[in-house]
Amino acid sequence: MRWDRCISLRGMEVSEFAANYLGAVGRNVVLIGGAGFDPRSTQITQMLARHVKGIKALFIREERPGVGQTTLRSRADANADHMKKLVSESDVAAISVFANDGAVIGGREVARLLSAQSWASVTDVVIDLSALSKGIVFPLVRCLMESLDQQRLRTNIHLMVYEDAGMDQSIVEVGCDRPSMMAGFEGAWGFLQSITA
Amino acid sequence: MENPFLKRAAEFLRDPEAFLAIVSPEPARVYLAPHANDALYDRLVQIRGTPGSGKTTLSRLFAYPTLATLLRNKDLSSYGAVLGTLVECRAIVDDQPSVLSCRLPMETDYRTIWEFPYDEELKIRLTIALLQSRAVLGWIRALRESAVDLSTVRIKPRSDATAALSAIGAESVEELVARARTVEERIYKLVGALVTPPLESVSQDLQDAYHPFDVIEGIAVGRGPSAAAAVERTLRPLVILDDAHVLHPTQLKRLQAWLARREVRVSRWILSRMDVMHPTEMFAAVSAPEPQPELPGITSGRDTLDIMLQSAGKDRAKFRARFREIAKDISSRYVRQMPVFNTRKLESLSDLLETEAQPIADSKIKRLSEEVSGTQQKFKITASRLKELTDIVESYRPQAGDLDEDVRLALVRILLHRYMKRIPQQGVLYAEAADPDPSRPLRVDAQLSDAARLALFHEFDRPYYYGMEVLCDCGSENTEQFLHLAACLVDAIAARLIRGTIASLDARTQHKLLRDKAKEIMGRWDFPERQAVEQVVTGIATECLRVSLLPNAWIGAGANAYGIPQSEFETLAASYPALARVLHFGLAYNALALNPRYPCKNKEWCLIELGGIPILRFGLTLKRGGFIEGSIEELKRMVGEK
Repeated sequence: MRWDRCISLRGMEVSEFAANYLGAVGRNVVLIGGAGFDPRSTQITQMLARHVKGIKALFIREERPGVGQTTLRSRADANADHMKKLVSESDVAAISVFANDGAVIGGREVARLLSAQSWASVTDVVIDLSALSKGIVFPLVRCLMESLDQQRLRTNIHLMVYEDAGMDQSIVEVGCDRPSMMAGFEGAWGFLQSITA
Repeated sequence: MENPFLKRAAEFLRDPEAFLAIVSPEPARVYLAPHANDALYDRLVQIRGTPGSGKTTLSRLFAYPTLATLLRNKDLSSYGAVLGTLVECRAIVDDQPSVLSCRLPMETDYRTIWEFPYDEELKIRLTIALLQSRAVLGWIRALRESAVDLSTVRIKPRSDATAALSAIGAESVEELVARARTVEERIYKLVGALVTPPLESVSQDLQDAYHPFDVIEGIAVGRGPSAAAAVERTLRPLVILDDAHVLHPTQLKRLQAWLARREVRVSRWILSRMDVMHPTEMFAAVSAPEPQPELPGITSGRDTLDIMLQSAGKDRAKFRARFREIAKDISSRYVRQMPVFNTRKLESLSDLLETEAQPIADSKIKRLSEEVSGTQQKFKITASRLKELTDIVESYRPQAGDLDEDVRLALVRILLHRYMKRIPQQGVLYAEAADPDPSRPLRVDAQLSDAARLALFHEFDRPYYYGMEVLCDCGSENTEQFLHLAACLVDAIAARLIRGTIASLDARTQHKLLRDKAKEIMGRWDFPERQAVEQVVTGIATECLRVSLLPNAWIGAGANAYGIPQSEFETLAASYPALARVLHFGLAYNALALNPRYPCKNKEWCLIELGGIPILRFGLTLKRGGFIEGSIEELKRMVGEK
């Protein structure tokens, strides 16, 4: 019953939590976040880098095809550089959201990336949702939880978000042109037996 | 009140009765019936079209429950045309269904298999096994839904495959279904895993062959206890892969090659959007729709039948006329479904869309007349020359009706500007009394009178888009687009009927409603590269409009296309992949259309034409052929690519 002990913090409580809990001696923290054009990309990294010594990070760079994205690309590069400076022990992994033929593959790509990681010595994984797409972050969390359960690790998962509804509204989504379920959340979708039952 | 024009997609109509009440057999008659006696059932059929062009509706028409429902009610006069077409297509033979079809939407989980870290051979085997298991389940489900007694059903194997019956569990229907379910369930578990299991964990029986398509030749039904079922009938199984463009290109190519094998007895159709193809192939396909060999060992035409639901190549004019017929038939069927029309015996949408022009107001005519005089004075054109130009306009007799006064004046104004372009300039500037003859004679034709109407539309808000044929042409040969546009007109007519006022819509109302709708549709565009496509569309449309409204109307009826030299265009997909991708989606979603190898000025051009919606939105002509010359560099600038 993982969610029995779920807690929710807002505002200043978050930095206090980072300083007092994640920053405590003996905690081995890994941050997973998006290194994209979104100005929110750097906020939580900045806050955690201030409070948590020895934090490691895996930054995800979502790649999408398209023309005329030079501004977005240079902003993402600047954010990624800044985040790497904030967390010296960090990697930036590029994840293709779409395959060459336009199929959505980001969810499975990120799952493949995470399944190759070792979590044995990690006490806490912080996932910063602020600058990650829905199609990436949901499979990411699910995959992480499954990996930890399979390896019988008691590693904590913390979800953090720097919320800005106005910013969300001003970002234009690059959608897939066909309705589909998020990777890992299909359930019985498409299963003919369930349709005929 | 429900407007069936807004409920276009066949998937939304659950019952065959509801579907049959509105479906038009015209697309099946036009595109499929000509092939009924040869290719339609004995080789791989590939049907391509833009979204909303009616692919899924075609497949639904051949569904067994649809055929059974149709035959149960064959005496209903409203089903007559559909029944006739399905007989023509040989889906019904001797008053009995002859095919048992099953539509498999490809948009579920097949594409995921291609992301597995296994070798290509295993991935295609898994794809094929999943597809076959679902086809088998689909066929049996169709029989069950049509209340066929499954105990009377038996699988008829190919003569050389009798021994393989047990391998697919085909010795009884129960076993056949059980085996298919097991295969589907096992592959589905694999597909559903977020992290793909290692190859070792893929059970051996999944890796082994499961090939019902290589065994089954027919499905026999009947021989039941009742007198009606005394005779056994053999149905030809038909599998329809819908929306196959979602598959990985390699996966689809391998699947096509597998389905195109001549020994397969199951009929197989692949329905896909045009963007199933790589931009290079897509541009080539719309350039030359004649079959092209693209699969190793497979020859288009002999092993496959390719059907395009959009106009392409040299038959474009024929396609437009054909689509008008289809659209009129569909709209009449839909109108009859609406009680507000039906109770008043209003059965044709065409009759309710007035075609009478609405000239501009007298005050505006006066202004236009003053402008003609002003132009004459400004260019120092003599009164006798003006009279001659006016006489040219007066002597022009259009095919339908007479020219309204506003159009006549606008034509005279165009002729004044044309006259000025065709005389030596110094003659007018320095010799006031001079009245030189133009270098080429001036004349008025349909193109020019259309240019005059376009100018009046933009200057004086004269209605330009009205009448059934205009509505059909705005549909860009896409049923869904046509219906979306028609829906707003139908709603307005219905409101008038309910209010008890005159039902038919005048030109001004039609014009306004169609333009508003086009603006709304463009605002709701939502597909990959939407922004870039919109930039291209806006760039082309703005330039076309500027040129179309030049005072001498040198481009005739107006421009609605962007021409790139054919040789330059052919380098586009390879040299400018990002731009090719933008055009690819523009074409796939009807924002643009391609008219390649267009001869003009002793050169071959590839015309990028605007679709019906952008044409309406920006107020351009619907007449084809007028284009502005451009280049790939200019197109790149439109999307902000350096």
